[in-house]
Amino acid sequence: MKHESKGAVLRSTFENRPLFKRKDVWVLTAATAAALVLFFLFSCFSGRADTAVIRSEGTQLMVVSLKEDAEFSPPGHEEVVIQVSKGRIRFLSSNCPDQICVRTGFISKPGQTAVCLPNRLSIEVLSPSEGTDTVDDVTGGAGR
Amino acid sequence: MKVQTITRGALFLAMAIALSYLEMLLPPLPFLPPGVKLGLSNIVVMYCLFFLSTPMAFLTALLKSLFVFLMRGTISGLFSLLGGMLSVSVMALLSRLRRPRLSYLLLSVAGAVSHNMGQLMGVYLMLTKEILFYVPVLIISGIIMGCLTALLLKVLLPALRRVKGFAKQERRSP
Repeated sequence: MKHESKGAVLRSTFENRPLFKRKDVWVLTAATAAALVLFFLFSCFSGRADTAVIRSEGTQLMVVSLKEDAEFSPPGHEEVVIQVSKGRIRFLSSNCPDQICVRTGFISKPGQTAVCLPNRLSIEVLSPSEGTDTVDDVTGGAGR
Repeated sequence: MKVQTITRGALFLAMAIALSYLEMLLPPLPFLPPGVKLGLSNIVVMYCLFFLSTPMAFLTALLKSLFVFLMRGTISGLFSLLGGMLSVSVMALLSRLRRPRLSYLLLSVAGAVSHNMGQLMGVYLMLTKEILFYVPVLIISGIIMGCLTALLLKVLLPALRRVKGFAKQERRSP
């Protein structure tokens, strides 16, 4: 065996490291497959939803029914327009620079969220069993 | 702190910022879900980690987050910090593994995925609990973007080596 000093150990950690190994393909495939399985599990366990809640900085602003199509701005946020259509909901327009909320598009499954960070707004689709914020709501509104 | 360390930190920060600016200039692809980014500045962090020193990688990631904090506010800065620190920690730990010795590609992918997970953790803790739905999307995007950044690092390595004085100090001789 080769004699190894401390310096040699450190160097050997970084030396002769290949950019890519044949086995990498299997690791990456397995990881992708696991992610896909997770994805399908998530989408299977979520049925259709009929309500969404709109929050500002985590505090509930309003509850929206997804059964009736509508277009509105949440109270106090005229810069944002939210649209409900065919049981789905989305940020139709917003004045924020990144437009990430608008690009999220329609959401309709329980647990899905669309978030507008610059305006501190979020839409969350509720699962049918889930109520709106009641008890938990108290802490979020403190001091406002 | 040595003057050399300070100037290097500044240089790497400048590179990281320039790369993330470059990334911003790329046209947004409509089919990409939000939050999925290339993460070009990770190339600089990886260069520091793989070829210079672990503390320099942490320093670069920290400074980058500080810059995001100044430019885009507290929340974005905090998410960037969470993602960056987790990413460097994971890559640093995995690169110490001797058996199996992971390839640069896998290290890069691990870094990209853990960066996404760190940010997601921030969103989970601070904004909404229902973001877990997004985990698979971010894993897959981390895998793809991690592969791309590893390849880009390979391509950019000669250019980074040309910076005066770097090659001499690298952990492995070029």
